[in-house]
Amino acid sequence: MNLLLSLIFFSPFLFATNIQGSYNKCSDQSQQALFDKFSKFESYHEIDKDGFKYFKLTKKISLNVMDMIDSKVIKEIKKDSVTTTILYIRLRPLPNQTTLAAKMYPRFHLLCKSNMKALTLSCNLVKKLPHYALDDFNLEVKLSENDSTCKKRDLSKIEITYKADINDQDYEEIKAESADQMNFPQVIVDRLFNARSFFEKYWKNFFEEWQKS
Amino acid sequence: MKQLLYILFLFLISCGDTGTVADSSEDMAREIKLLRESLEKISALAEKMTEDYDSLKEGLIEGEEERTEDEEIEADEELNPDLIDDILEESGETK
Repeated sequence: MNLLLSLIFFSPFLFATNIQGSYNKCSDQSQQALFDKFSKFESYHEIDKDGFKYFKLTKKISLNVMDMIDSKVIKEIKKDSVTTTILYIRLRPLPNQTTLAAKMYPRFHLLCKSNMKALTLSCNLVKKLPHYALDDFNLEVKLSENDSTCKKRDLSKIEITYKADINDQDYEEIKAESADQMNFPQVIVDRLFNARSFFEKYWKNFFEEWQKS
Repeated sequence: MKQLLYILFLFLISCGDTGTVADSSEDMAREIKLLRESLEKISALAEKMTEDYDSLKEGLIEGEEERTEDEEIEADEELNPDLIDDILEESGETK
């Protein structure tokens, strides 16, 4: 009975892998320039258009494991200094190695609020709208003046925190289909498809490219 | 491929008509060798063109399939405009 109750209580957590991380960086770009860039939702998918090469076989050979193919503004409302946006994001796993069905592409809707006075951006996954592979996602971006941790020539400091809940069942589906198509040894497949380490590194890489773009 | 051979055949005929094909057997042998080599090159080119065409066609069909699948997903996951407005309203924004 206790086991059954435990299963019922913990069942929502059995199917989710939680990741969280932060990204802090000094930048030689002005706060306003960075804010304008971070608020251009439609161009997010161009940031990692070359894909994210996480899995490196050798120095020269690496696999492109994910790229963002859609960042579409569904609706946007501007009120005073705050812009509220519903944004649709779609990622494509293993773009050059597999031909996965489009239904297996991780996708989700975000509700983003960008404040042009406070120079902040926050986004949260909208659970009421269709989503696949991710059950939750939260992003906070804060821009401030450079501090003692930055170099003298830097103009701004970027602080990003993010959290995501990966839906393990969806992820397993992507993993099984990809492994089947690629016909790789199990040891490589397991490394390649480690959801936690993969998504943590994917988002860090994305933010790195984001501020550089 | 057949068309290429036909063109080559016409070329040979026209060469014969204008008398460009050498008279001596040695020259003729050289001409035949050259023609054979040209024919081989044309065959290889035709083969490559066929392969390119096939892969292009395959790519186009795949593209069409992907678009269709995307459209299906978009239709399945079509968003209700009222729901979008509700979500924005809940977030503190007016319609």
